[in-house]
Amino acid sequence: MVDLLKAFGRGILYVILCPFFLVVLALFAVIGLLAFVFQLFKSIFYFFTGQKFFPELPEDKQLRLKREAEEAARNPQPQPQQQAPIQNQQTNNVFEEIYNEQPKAAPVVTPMREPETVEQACFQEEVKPEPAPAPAPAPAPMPEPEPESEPASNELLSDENADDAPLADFLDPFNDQPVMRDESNEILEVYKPRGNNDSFDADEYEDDTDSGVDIRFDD
Amino acid sequence: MNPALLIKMTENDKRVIIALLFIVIIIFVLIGVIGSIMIRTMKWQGKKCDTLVSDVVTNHIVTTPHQLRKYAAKKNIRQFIKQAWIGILIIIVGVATILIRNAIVKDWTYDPFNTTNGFGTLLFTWDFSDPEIYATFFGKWKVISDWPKLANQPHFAVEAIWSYIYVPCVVVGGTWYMIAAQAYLARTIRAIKLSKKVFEKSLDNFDQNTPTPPTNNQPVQQ
Repeated sequence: MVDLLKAFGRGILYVILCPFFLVVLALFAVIGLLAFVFQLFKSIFYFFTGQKFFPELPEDKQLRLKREAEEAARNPQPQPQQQAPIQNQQTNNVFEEIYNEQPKAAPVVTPMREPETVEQACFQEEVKPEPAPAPAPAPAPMPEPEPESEPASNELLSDENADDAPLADFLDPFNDQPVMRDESNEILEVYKPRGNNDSFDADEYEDDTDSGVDIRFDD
Repeated sequence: MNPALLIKMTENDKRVIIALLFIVIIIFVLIGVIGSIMIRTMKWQGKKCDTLVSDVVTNHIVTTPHQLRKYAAKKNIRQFIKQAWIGILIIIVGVATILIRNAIVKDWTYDPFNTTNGFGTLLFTWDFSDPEIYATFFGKWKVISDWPKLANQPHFAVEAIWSYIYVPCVVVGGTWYMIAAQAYLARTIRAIKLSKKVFEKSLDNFDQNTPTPPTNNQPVQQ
């Protein structure tokens, strides 16, 4: 009986509030209809621009980025394996070989100085190499340049009196000086460079040669 | 003495008044029960709002009541469109049917609910215009007091086929749409309640005079 009376009381209350509820419901229905029509036109625009019917809201985007960050922190992605360098590929193309060749460090060339004294040449005094130049940036893979020729041998070839100078059999491994050997493999002499004497010194060539043209001048 | 109290009622009048009183009570009780069911239904429909906004709230993307109401409004209108588009489509089909009929017949005054070539052919129709079914109370009030004569029995009419499509489509689509609108209203009310409740701070169980229990890092002073 009490429930019946409560329902009766609610019924009176709802009858009073019913018009207001219906007005609000009709308002929401109209708002929904306008939103539907507006969304219909927007969806046409979204269709031709390739977007979704309901684009992602900024809050949803923040949430997605946050979840992706958490997921990435929980399961870190494995590092991609480095691709093995291509080696020993048989090819007949020289340019491809040069291209595929791994870049090498620039060869360090330490030019040797000529011994300045006879003792230095004969007793193998230590000849300090010149300080190496500053390392140049690694060049493009090019054919390996030939090392600079030994200054002694160059001296032999470039000397004006090259015909008079004895030919060296090999270079002394200690000071890179040409060494003369006989048939019994005995060291005969060590070539003595003359230095950079551009002037013509008559005394130096006084008893030097027995052949050739004598161009000495008389005082 | 008040003349209204001097009205002499017959035994038949008293029975009629008691019957009317019972009918009114039953009507109000039914309205109360229906209203309670509607409120319960709207609470159930409003729970969908929790699903829509819970992710951004629990992840602290939304931090103020204003942001929550704004975000919930966007989500609610999208949910409404998802729910209501089928109802709107059904209504459009019904309206298109009756428009096609009117264009074919070239009769734009057609009433789809009439009892001759409309949807009324499928319904029972009574003639309430017969004055013989009414009785006069207290000398001036006319109250129906007899069964009206049956004016139409359900029957199928071929020319009313258009209204057979139109009326069900409009009724079903309209009901569908109004239920979706009711759910939209329920979610909006729920969003307003949530915006007040989620960020609410309560000091009900807080007592500043109660000493704070020591933590593990702090030595206990004795």
